[in-house]
Amino acid sequence: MSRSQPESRVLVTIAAIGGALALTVLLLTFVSSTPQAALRAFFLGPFSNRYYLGNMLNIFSTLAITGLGMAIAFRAGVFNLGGEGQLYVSALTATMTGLALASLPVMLGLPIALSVGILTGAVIAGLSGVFRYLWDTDELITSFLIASACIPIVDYLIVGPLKDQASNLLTTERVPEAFRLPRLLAPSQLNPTLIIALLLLVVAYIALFRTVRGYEWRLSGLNRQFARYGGIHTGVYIIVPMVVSGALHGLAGGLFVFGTHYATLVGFTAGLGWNGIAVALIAKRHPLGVIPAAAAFAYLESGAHIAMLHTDFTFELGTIIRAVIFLFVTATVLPHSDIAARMSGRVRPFSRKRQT
Amino acid sequence: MDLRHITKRYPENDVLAVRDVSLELRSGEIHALIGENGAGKSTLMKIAAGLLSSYDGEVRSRATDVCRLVQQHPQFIPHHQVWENLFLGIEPRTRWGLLNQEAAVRDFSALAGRYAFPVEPRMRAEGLSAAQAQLAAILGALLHNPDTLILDEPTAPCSDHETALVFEMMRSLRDDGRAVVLITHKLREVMEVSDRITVMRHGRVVGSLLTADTTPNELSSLMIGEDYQHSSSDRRFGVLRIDSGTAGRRSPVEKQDLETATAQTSPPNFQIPESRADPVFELREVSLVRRGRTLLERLNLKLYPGEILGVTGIRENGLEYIEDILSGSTEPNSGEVRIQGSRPSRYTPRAFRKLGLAYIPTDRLMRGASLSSSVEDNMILLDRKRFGRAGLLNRRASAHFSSALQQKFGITAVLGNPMHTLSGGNMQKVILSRELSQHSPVVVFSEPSWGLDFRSSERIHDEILRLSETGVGIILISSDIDEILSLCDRIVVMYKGNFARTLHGDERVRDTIGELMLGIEPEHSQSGAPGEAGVPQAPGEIESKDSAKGYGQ
Repeated sequence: MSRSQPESRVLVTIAAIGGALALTVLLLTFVSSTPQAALRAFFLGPFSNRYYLGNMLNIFSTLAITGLGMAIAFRAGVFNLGGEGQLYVSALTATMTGLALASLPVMLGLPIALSVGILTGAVIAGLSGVFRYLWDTDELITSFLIASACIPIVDYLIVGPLKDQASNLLTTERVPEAFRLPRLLAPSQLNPTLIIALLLLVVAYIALFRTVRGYEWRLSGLNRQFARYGGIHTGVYIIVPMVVSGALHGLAGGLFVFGTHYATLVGFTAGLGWNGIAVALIAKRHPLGVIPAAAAFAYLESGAHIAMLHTDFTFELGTIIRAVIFLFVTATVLPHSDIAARMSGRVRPFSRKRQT
Repeated sequence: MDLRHITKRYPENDVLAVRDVSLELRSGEIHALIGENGAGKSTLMKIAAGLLSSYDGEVRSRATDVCRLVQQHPQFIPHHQVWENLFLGIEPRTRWGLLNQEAAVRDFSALAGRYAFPVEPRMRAEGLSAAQAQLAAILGALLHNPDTLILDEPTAPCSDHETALVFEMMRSLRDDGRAVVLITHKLREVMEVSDRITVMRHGRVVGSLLTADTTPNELSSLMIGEDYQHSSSDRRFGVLRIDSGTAGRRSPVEKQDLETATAQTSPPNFQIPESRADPVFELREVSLVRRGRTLLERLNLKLYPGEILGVTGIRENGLEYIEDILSGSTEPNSGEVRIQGSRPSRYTPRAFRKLGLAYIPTDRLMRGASLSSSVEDNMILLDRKRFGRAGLLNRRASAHFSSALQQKFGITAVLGNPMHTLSGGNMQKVILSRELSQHSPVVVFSEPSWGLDFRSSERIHDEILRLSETGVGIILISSDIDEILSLCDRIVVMYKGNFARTLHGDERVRDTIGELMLGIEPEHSQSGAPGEAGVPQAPGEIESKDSAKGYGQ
């Protein structure tokens, strides 16, 4: 953890964002032939009409859930690097369940389909937790490997046996009309995922900071040796956080299908899982911090989309800008986080031996 | 080297660590710098060694002079070998400009050999014991061939044997015409090894004397600012104690306060056993083997209520492993542990605590505390379940509990601040307050006064004695012979993973313990079978029904 004052850390983050934005403006001015239009589309586009605003909020909703999924794992000192794959697989299982249960009433079929999605994510991520508990394998690596192995399998299923023959796209069949979540800000894609995401963030905040289990959860993340010494069953706080993290990604995948796309398309997760890690880091692993972090990400993403539609702004440029901002912000966050410590094989005060 | 009118303020917490201090370090002299925790010794020497840049005053030395400081708790890159750690920046090269490993290892071994320091250059740093790490760090400083060598509490993790090695090294440097500075608060060491003494208190120099002209009493009264004298009347075996002459001679915590405050803060979780005939803690034939090495061999031990059992030895001879076994941190390969007659369900601290064990660990920073958590979160660790209401943490109750503990133990801290803002003494008090709030019938203390100054360790020692009077069984693991001698009813000396001998009554003599620690069987050896630490001793109270059995070999 950082030893500086919280206020000064916030200031540093704001300065980093400011610096990144200045760099963005500079880049656009040089690269674009109509820099003014591009700048306006990029920065003001998301607020220019209901459609763009709704879509931005929709991106925010999914990012908030995946970001929370990461943050909550980080809090327990475990690392789920398989969010992208977990989201993708869960989207598929939820879609297929929805299709299979098409004859059931919505109030029954939809919860079952979403639960299947949640369960899928929970099992995939949970495996890494169990492996670490049993054999002390690094969950950072196993979660990445397992999820990465799942992605091509899902690709194959969508392109092959599960493809919607009626469609020209690489997609599964669309879930029955009755199962689709209502649109909140038509014609945009915004749907009740937003409300679910905000509720989850508040619930997670209370669970982490206001309950006894949350105290044990955080303590296991801060100092596992201390937690064990104090009689906390630390094995539980390896497996459960992975399960919960996977479940949140599974839920995000399910909602992404029933709220936004109504089917699973090849590669439609488009970095939502990876960006969840970025969101969690910028949020300093705090559930409520996820709100501004995910909002900033969603804003940049939709800004890039809009600028692309209206000007000669390119997709790559959007990616570069996001990368620049991420780099600036994480540069202020990472030195204090445990992921940085872990990545750099940290030097610690001399202690006699490691505690597993 | 000459330090003139040095003043150092830490702006972060607005502390004046050093106030207008002038000091002269002469070559060919061992200079002891003493004072309580926080007196400014370490800060001053960091300035001398050039590790701190912003200060007022002047440091004068010849430009070619090399000054090296060996800090407390030396840090190493754990996965790298010792020599790799120590030659960082001064690597010898081959004539092709490549790293000359052989030369480095050879130089290091020669240096280690000269002072008989038992440190292997090829060993990985993570495998070093705390004492070896200290010796390695000293060797690392010597590799730079310093004109001035400053050692900050070098003997804290060392046994008598290693301490003697360090002193020998210091004397040889002195005779070689170099300046050596020893920062410490152990008076015995100061009297033994130094030529000149500077005493610091609250950032100022309060005395500068020649060792030959002073006495420990004079030094301690200078350090503490109160009269300090040897007294053997109200301690069991006579140790230094403070006698300020006024009422309330040290902490505001008197025995009755302790009991009433404890009653307010938490209902007893455990019953202190009425009968003193049954052991509250037992080891039976416990062995620990790791990677084919036998670390502990068929140990037997019985602890009775109200007894203080000391376990001592050189730390490499199994003290750290016995700590892990006694606290449930490690599972033994064979044998069993019994707490109040029951076997723990698993070998975890959780299971041991359930049966009534409290434990103050050696490693306070990593094991005993969560440094980035608040002080309050550190205090409620063991009582967390009691503050749950339908799963929600009742912060008002936990704050009430913590401030009661804070008052009771006189802890200077803001409860909401992170633990790492606390001084070592206050940190240890937080750990102590938490562990003792459980009213456990067995308490394991491991190196409870490491790094603490007189008054803080005094308080801890008082607490240990008080606990034993209430019938709590105490195991005190310590490599500090004075601590062991002053507190313990029985003393077990470890040598190479075995209990070399159990000493009772008149056998508890410094020299005997020292010899046993080094594996020498004292000539005047009498009773007490090796490997048997279960002989009840406290006169009259316990029948020695087990003494004849003689477990183990």
